Amino acid sequence: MASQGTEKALALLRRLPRVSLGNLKPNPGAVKSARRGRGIYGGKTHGAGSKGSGQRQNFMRLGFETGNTPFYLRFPYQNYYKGHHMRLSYAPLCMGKLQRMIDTSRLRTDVPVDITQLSATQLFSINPMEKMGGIMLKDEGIDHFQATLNLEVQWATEAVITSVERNGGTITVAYYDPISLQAALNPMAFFKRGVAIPRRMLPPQNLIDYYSDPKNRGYLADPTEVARERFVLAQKYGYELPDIRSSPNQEMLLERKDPRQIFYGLQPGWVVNLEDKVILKPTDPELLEHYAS
Amino acid sequence: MSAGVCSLVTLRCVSGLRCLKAAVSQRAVHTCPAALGITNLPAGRHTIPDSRAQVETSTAEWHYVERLFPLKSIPKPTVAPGEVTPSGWVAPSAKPGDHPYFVRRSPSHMIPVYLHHIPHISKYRTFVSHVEGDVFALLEELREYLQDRKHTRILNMRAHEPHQKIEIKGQYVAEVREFLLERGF
Repeated sequence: MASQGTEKALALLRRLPRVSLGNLKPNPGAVKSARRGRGIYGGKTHGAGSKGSGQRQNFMRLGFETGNTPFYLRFPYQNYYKGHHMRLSYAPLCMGKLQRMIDTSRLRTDVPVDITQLSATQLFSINPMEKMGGIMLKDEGIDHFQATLNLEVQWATEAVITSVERNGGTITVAYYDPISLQAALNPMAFFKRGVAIPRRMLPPQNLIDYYSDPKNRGYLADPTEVARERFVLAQKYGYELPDIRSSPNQEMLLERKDPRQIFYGLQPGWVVNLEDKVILKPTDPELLEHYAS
Repeated sequence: MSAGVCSLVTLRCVSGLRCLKAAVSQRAVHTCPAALGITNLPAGRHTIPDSRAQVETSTAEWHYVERLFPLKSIPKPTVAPGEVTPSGWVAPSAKPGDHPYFVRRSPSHMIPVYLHHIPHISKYRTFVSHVEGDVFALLEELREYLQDRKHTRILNMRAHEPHQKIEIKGQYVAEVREFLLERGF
């Protein structure tokens, strides 16, 4: 009987969970709340000293130099702040990380990759209210970038453009105004609001040159000039430009948005009803004219 | 005393009268509207015409909407175990039981080796998470491996068994990742 009891106890022990975070807790009385020490363990001021910032925690303002003219006021102007109120910041994305997202199936490659597809991975935090303009591609890892993509980002350098086009892909840089960007970042939340898809605004004055330049693959540039610049870049870096027309996923690679469009295939002015799974299109000529490109 | 009070009262009366006088005084008041010609303008149409509400429904473009649906969970990679992808990411090939310990991947399929940095005291610690099985066996193997690779005399490392973690003082992320990759985790 005793041996049976022992076996039962051992069997029970085996079935019991291991010591883990879930079942650990300190011994009764082991945790003591912090107490304000007296005498040599703190004294009357507890290290805060007497008078001044230490005692009152009214520390000097940031940049204050106790009587000197502060550094931030010493020079009349700092050139790198020029136009700071117009500038946008972009979430960086390295080409190596883009390749890793594709390798680990985080990103679909059978559809064009735009800001919506990238933000759906939930690997970026982009806030248009904090003057963020979208995603910029960084050239780290361009040597092992091998994917063939139809990319649309908000900022790209020449090295990045080279690495994408060398693999037979296409890249476009496109501007999204804050309202359009918010819609593009989270389309489901936007559709649930039940409002019409807005018309994408054109870039501001300081960015219009960048987005009209075929060298940057700007979305406002002439497509024939972009094609010529693709060839010029291939000559410059000495690689053979793969022919997109003979590629099996030619349709995907050549899919482009209208400059006024936010989502592929969905026109501004349309309302997407997620509940009934239908798209509502306005028929009023005034509205059509308003939303026309 | 009473005379003083009286004089105060009279003064108050006088000031009150003055106020009254000012209120009733006949002053020129502007009675003409702010914009003279506003009545000549056509009345503003504040109603939205009915034609705006007329829509046609379509489901032909619904596949473009489906494309925008985000994934509900992190997808499982389709790469064969042990295969090295262009980005350098390797799918885990080790199975529980191959070693006395098992290090599972993080939910995003990455090797769970992390660097903790406290900048203002310049303190670096390397953590290996999700160590299942014999944590101390992994600790000893890792100690040997790091001593061979880094030739350090002192390796300050310890195992947190209930947390399923190993902590190493210093920056050893690359070496520990390499070690785990060699063993197929």
